[in-house]
Amino acid sequence: MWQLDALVLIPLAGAVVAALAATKAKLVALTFTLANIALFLSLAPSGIFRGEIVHGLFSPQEPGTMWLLTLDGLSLPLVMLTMLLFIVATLSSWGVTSRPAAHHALLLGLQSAILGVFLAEHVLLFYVFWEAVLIPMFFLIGRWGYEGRRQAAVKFFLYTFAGSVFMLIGLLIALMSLEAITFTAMAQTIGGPAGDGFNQVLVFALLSIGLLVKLPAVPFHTWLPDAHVQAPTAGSIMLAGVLLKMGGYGLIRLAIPIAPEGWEALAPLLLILGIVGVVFGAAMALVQDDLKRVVAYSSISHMGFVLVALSVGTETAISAAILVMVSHGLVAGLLFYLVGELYERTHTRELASLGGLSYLTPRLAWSLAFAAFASLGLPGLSGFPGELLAVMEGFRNWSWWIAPVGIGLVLAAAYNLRVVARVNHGPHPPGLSGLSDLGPRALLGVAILAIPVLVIGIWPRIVADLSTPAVQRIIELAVRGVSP
Amino acid sequence: MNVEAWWFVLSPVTIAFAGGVAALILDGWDRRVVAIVVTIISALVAAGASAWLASGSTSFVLADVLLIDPTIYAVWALIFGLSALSTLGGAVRMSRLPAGGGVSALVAFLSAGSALISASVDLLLIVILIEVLAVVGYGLTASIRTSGAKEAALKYFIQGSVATGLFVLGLALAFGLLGGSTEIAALGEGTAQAPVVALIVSLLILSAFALKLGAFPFHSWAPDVYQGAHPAGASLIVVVPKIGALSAMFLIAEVLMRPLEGSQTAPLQPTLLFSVLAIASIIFGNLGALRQSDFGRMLGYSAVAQAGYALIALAVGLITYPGAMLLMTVYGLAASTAFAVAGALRAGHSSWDGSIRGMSGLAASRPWLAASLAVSMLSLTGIPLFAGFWGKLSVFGLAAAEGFIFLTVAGVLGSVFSFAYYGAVIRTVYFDQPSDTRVPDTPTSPTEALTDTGVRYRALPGVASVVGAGVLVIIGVVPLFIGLTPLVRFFGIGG
Repeated sequence: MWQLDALVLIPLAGAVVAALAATKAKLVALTFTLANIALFLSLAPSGIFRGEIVHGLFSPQEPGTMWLLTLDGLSLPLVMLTMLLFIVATLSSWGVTSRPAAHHALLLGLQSAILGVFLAEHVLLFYVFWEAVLIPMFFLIGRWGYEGRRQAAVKFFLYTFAGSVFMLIGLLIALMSLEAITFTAMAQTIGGPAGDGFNQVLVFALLSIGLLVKLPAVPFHTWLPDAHVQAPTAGSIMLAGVLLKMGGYGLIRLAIPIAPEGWEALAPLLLILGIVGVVFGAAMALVQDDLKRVVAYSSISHMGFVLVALSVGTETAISAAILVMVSHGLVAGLLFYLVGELYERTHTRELASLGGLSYLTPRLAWSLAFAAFASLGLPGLSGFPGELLAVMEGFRNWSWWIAPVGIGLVLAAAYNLRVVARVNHGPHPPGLSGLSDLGPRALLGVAILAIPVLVIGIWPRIVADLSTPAVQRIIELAVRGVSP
Repeated sequence: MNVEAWWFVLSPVTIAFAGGVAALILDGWDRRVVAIVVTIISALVAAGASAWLASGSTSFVLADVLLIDPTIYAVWALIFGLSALSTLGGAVRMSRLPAGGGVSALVAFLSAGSALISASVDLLLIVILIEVLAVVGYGLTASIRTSGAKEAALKYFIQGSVATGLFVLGLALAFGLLGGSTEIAALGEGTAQAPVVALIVSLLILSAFALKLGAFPFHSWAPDVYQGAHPAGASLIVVVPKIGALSAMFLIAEVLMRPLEGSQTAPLQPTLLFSVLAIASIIFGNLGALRQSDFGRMLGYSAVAQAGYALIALAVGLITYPGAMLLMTVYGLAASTAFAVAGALRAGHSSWDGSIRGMSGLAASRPWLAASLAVSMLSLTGIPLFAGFWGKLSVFGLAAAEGFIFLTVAGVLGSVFSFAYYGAVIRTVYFDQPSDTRVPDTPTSPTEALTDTGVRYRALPGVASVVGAGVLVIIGVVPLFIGLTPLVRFFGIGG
């Protein structure tokens, strides 16, 4: 299917056009993003929404080339999430006045690299895209970010690069031992008669270091608050919305099928990291004064649920992890989008200098409240089903060891309600009058993310149905790899 | 046709050499610009001829001292190609020097000598060529005639002399104790009988090459030469002899040292030796580079680290030869690109002091130059989408596959660390506000426009840097579609 190759290359072409388009760059970015979505939807007849696997121009049997792309049920929700978030990110950068052409060109380049990560079937191609994501993000943070942007950009790059090289070493060991070069082939070889031939625990640990830095899990999270806070709004949306998901995606796509015994052995560690992430992230979010920092730490907390789910080896648990990732992508994207809109109007993100927005700018205030409720896991919104499933599956497997997660759930309610209370209610500080409310463009951005949040909240199976066939296959491969 | 005539086999070297001689003669009439153009063209022709010969399949042995096969021709194509690029990058500054034509001739001689070294299988020829390169390199380094350059040249020359002395000592030992021959293959046969002598001989000879490579502990010339030398000269001293030296080191290591591997009588295992030197080079180079404020010195120290990555390949063995040559070549290309940027910044009446800080705001004033610099730095770090990634991947990957995990870890950690200073350059160029010492777009004075060193050639280093960056991106991206095999195969399995 040439469409798959085009999905990656069209944004890249768009980046070149946008770079040349000067002031029209935002229109170029929107056009190319929408065109890419249209192209993606044109794949529908080939059954991608019914569990069919679609390959790119080169089939995985093709010798020589690394350009092997595959779209399956695991990639699908994340590809859709990525595309939705890029519309919103483009809308959020509508008002960028400093070198808008370069800004939008980098956003399109980022889109190309992220879609490449989710579609790559070849191990090295995956790694190339994985690292390529860093380059536009580095420039976006460093060039268009806030006060501390220069340090944050380098820190972001160094931390995630350092993590990914460990992942690369793990991949290389597996690659050379298994003599297979695509994810599917590697996973199949490991359960097969060829045997493993490498220390699976070591490989799983090496892969996980890279993936857990990205996710991020708690001891590796320190790059995140800086990067999220200093990045421009579009950068924060992409970081929280999609880049973190690359970590969870990598665990499911690479680490679990390639080193299933390592996964089995280190599952308790994943659980501990997950619980620590949930509680620590939530506790930190509760004491932040900067709105962006609140959202950044809440991301760490939510990603903890992904780890809790992935510490359990059932199909439902992995589906729950995917659901949490999609939901958090939408909700965190929405939160950063709204904080960006808020900052454009008030020029502050300090909770102490905000207040009374529910009567100053009701549309913005209610959108923020909606996103906060989704984030705290209100039933009926997307945050609820995934985290509930993750905790239930965790309880079935680990029984009461899972209990500390409850603290995280309570804290989540606390920090989200604190934000709503401080920002929306109470008297407004004197400098805040005369603010304009969200306009049609901004409301469109809110709607693009809020509608899926509602739909998934009411009907969570919509995500599970997409991913189930792929998840079954991965569990099958992993089980085969564990029991010879 | 029967192509085994010596003049045909050696035609690329002859062309480059002839270009150099012509440049020297033209320089006598003070036709500097013509001389420089002649050397660039002859280098390009030599590169083309080498590439064409590399596609053949015959190998030639010339007088038992030169072994030339398609692999060597491929290396030659790289050497002459890089030579042309470096001369282009330094053209403006070269044309300003009183002896500019002579400098371009030196560049041609340096590339011809390096090409011959890569094909030598006789120690006597190698030692003569090393001396030739040392003298040429000395001239090139000093050609700019600042006190810093003179000091650098002297350091380079003295250290080079010591290394050559060691080499000659090794040669004498080899000739006297390993069977009365200077041919490397013949020496290998004597190794088994006298492992200790063989080891001493190898160490002495490898020291000379390690100096050319700029590896620890023979690295101390590198920062001075990188900082002080003429951009074209520096990029050549840095790049071209290193490719030749690395190729020769593989040969020596394989023939004289590898038979000792695992032997009980050998006092030192070659793998251990190269591993220690590799890790020491990586640590010294990286730590040194981090502290530098001068762009050239930073590149100089980082080159020591890059030599360390190449030494990893030597520790792993002959299987990594193609990967190591790829690593060294793409390093050379990226370094040449960086030097071309420096050359462009120094062209014109620029007030650039050579510091990294002084490059701030470059992205706004000269976006193409800034982009080339960013590409070069990312490639040196080894980030995917740029050529440097494939070089490092092919060496580190094989090291991991062969069980040298600790060397892979050392290599990748060194690469991550290197972003601290390579990335700092990008940060300065793109994110920092222009400082007082920023690079101005200096207007050309009317008198300058009239001279042959004027505005017409101002753009040349910039062009060279953009070309270099373009090639880095192409080599970085094309393997995604056609696979890495063609790229590695280009570097052959010889050695």
